[in-house]
Amino acid sequence: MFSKLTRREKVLIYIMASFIVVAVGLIFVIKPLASWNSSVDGKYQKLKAQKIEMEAVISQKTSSLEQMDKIQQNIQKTKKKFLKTMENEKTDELITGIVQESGLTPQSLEIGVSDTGTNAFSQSSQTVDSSGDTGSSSGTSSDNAAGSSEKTDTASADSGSVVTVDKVTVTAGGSFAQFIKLLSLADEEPGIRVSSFSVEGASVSDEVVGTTSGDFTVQIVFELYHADDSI
Amino acid sequence: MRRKVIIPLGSVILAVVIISSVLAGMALYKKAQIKDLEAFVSDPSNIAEYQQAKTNCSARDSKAAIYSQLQKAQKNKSSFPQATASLMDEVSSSLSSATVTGCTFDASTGTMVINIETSAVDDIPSLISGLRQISSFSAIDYTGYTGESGSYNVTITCMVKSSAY
Repeated sequence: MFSKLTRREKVLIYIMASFIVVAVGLIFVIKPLASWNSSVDGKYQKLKAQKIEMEAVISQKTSSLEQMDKIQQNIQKTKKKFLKTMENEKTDELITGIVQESGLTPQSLEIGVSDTGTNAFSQSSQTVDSSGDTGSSSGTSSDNAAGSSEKTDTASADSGSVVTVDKVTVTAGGSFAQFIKLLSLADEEPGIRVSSFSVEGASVSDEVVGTTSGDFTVQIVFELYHADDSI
Repeated sequence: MRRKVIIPLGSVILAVVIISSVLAGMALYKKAQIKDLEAFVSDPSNIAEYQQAKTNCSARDSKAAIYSQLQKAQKNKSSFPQATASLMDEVSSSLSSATVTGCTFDASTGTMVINIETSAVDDIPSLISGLRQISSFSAIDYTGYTGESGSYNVTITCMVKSSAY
């Protein structure tokens, strides 16, 4: 029967048979094998990546501890440039102390949370007014207990922060030289920055204070940078 | 004739077989490697070591983040212009022949406004020149004086250089 076919028909049948062989080979042999190979390769790549990651992490087991110690040392070193976290009465004590050491006479002090600096928390402030009497500043500080805890709560609400910035506004009376000494003392304290100040002549201060507090009335705004004690 | 027919067809079949063999060989080779990899990643001692190392790395990263925050805060603190005691001393010395009646400073802008009072109007230019000699000031703005009968008021605006520069 095959011999009765013309040469052209034989060639066509031959091409068709070849096509069928290729198609069958592709569909039933190569494609499943390629698919299997691909899935095995996927699993292989995944495991290889996992092994590389594990090896990379394991290789850092000791070095990470050394790095952590080094970072901790740097943290401790940098922390010295900041103030410790403190309640408002301690802040009052610190700032009033500096003011008194400079020879200026404190008139008022207001502690709030700075809206500049690293962290901007919601504003909460309270006023300590010594009314020109330096001895009463510690007495009025105790009135701040409620206000202080409010501030602490606000700060701790942002658990990711390690630095809090307080704003302390102080008004004091004295001479220009005493004011310069105050700047010098503030400069010596870690974590204190003079944000702004205003020095005015005695004619203004006398009306406000009514005491012999000196030639000038000084209003100075400090920013206090506190580093979290737990770090 | 028969040979002519079989050779090309056989070649096609051979090609299919070779390709299949290569694919199967690759898959089998990778399967063997997968066994080794699985043995490594599921080894309890490796897992324990990995977990420990991961904990260490996590603690280190956490410390690094804290340190970064501290550095950022420190940088922020020191980036502002500062009216230091030494600067104020220099200002005070250069204005010694006049009386400082007021002074304001704002670190956020670096602006210091100095008010002085002097009886000698001729001294004012030299006072301003003296202030210009202070290296901590980047600019001095003086626009004149007011006053009469031996008392003249001058307002001088000075720009304090940022300590970061």
